[in-house]
Amino acid sequence: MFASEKVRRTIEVVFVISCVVVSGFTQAAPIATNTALPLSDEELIVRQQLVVARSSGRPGAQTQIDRLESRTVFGYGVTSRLALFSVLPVVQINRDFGNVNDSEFGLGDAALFARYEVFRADKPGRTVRIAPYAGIRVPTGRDGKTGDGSVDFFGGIVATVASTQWVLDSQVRYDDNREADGFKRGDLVTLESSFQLRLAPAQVVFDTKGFVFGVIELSATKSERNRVGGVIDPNSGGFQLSVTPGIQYSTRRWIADFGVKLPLVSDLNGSALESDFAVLTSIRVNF
Amino acid sequence: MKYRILIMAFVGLITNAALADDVQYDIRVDGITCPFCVATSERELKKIDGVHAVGANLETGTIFVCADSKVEFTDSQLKQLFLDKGFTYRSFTKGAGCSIAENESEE
Repeated sequence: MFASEKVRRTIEVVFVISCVVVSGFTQAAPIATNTALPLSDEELIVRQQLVVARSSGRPGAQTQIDRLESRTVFGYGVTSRLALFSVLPVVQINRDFGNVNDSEFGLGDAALFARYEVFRADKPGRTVRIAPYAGIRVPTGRDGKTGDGSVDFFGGIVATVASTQWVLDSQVRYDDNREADGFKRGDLVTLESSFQLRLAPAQVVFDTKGFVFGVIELSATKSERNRVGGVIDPNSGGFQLSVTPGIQYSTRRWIADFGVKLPLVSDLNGSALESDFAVLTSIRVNF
Repeated sequence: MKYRILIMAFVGLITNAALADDVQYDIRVDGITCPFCVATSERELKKIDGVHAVGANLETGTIFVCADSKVEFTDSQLKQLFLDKGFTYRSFTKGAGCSIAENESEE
């Protein structure tokens, strides 16, 4: 039993390290989210994201949770308007409750979603696109440890306005979280905007190979309280507003980005943990 | 020495003839805003037999295609090609000779 657990953990560690190594060696879109990734007919993209995040309790609570997450994202353009995505996370969670520490490592809950472009208006060097999306999150993580154990649903609409100088992606999203084993995470409403401004080159010339974008993202999340055994957890849910400044380099075949998500406003219920920061980095390749 | 000069002249004539046979299509496409966007269309265009090189001017929304003179694009063909890649085809012009080098479209 012990040996098989050790083998499984070794495989998981190798998988995460592989992901990080791949991302180390290898059109502007948001840094924090994947719903606005551009895809055309029969195009495949692979995005490897690495997120390091810390949450902690109110001052004096001595509670801290560190989360390292590697997300492998596959996107495929079924047609020029319909795209399918999968997001497979592998997570390492370290909890520090003062005198008690524990950690979990393994697959997180995977997500699958489809996006359909309902509006497109193109001009020379400009475009406007609107696309609703819907998806499902399946309990591939360990129940109560690296995953929620529930089958959850989410949907939203994403709009993109782009020129050769800048890109603005905005979305509204609703997460309908379901109950599993007596636990139900609160539903979420999220509003997000990402503005990407071309910093270099100053002029686009015939053989421009790549763009450097400065990125600023805003994310507002309102979440309901969790329910445990049918009872509302008063120390959960609330409102959070965060900002993510970052940088992105875009070439014909790959895009790399880096950002740091910082809280601006945290109006959380009870003693719910507040997000301190999240460092996000990713590389995306199209095939 | 005479033979060498003759061979070089012959090769030069053949090369010039080949270049003279090339044509350039300047294709107006709307909605292309970044190098990443160009790549997908470029790959599709390069699948066409006789296409040598592809370049782009993002500011004007023009894609340049250097091809053999036997390559004949049509409006309906280009409209569908760029529609599949997520962009809007407008028009094209065709001219003799190529102003883009073979490696313009290389990463």
